Amino acid sequence: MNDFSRSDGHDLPAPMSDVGPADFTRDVPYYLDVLPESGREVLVVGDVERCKGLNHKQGANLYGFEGTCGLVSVEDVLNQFGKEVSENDVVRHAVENGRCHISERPGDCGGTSVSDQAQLLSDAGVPAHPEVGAGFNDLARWVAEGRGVIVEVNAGVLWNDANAYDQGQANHAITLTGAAVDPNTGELLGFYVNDSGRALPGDSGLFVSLDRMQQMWQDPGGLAVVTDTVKTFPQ
Amino acid sequence: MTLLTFTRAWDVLKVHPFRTAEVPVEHAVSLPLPTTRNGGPGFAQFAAPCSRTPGEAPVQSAPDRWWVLDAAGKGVRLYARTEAVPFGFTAFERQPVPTAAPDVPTLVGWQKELFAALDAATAPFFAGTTADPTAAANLLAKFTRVVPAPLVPLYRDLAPDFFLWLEGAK
Repeated sequence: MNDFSRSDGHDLPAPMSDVGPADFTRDVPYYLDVLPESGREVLVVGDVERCKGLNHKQGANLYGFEGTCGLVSVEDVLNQFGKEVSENDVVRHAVENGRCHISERPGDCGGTSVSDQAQLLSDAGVPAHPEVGAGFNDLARWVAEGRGVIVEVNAGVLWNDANAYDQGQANHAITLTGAAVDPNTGELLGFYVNDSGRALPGDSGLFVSLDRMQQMWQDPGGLAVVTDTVKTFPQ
Repeated sequence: MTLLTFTRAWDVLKVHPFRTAEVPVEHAVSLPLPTTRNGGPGFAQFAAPCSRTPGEAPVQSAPDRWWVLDAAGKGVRLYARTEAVPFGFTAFERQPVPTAAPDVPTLVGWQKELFAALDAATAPFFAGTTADPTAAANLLAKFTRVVPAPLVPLYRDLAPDFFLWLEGAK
């Protein structure tokens, strides 16, 4: 099975015709904003505000699966590309195609490998691939190109929670939605993400400094899933 | 023959192709421990389903897979699901595995100390040299500070020869 279908039995539309190879002519949104903690003015690159509405706490599926951060990240990216799928749609497709961890206890289920996430996006008509050892400039470039990006991070650093740190490896998937740069110098200052792991309103469009991004994403290996195609943004 | 240090092995394993292809990101992954259990020097590691709720201790199930990286740089020596090839016989029930660390910076600091001790111990262990008693005791103390107590028996099953080497130091 190489397509997604909705829970109501109706197939989703075919892959969008306006999703094409990456180029720099796409109108990725940008606007001035102020960082919440420092009050510093930044240029936000990416559709951070609209993407906030795509985030929700993971576990919203009929299977009772709770380890679905990767699947919710897939759902988030697909919706960024205009594909209206729910977490349940993505979970069901993953279950039917052996693309997530399944065991006797539903709360443990739903985990995905980096390759699973890329394959699930591709199944839905948004081709994607894993990246290993990526850097901040890669992330910023992908945002500026309008690509969908899932980053594999350490939840302990993201949540400032020692119990979620494990051994410091990547153990949580979140969605990258934007980059913050200095409006005068172009210096990269940080990134915006959607995190489905908590129910906090601030976790949608959450600003993450470069220091924190270094600890939670680059130190664990710089793992990411990146779409091969780019989004089209509303004018 | 140059063998990988603990730190280098851990760095390799974090981004190894089989890890990105086979192991769910959400799984809890153990530290890689030096062992010769599979026919030569290697680093063994296990992974287990894990449920994480912010602010609470993670709840970990029994390991469902394990693997050994060749310490001589020849790739993965073994990858197995535990239902097919178990790495030990400890009966591990799903349970909370709280860290003893009060915060992330403290845990990171403890891990750095442990990683340095593992780096120092790996070469003499692979060489079959008798362990320095003081260094071995220090390593074990750092290990039990970093690794949640319920998980220690799993680590002993994973690399029994390494623990025998450490505890045999006199």
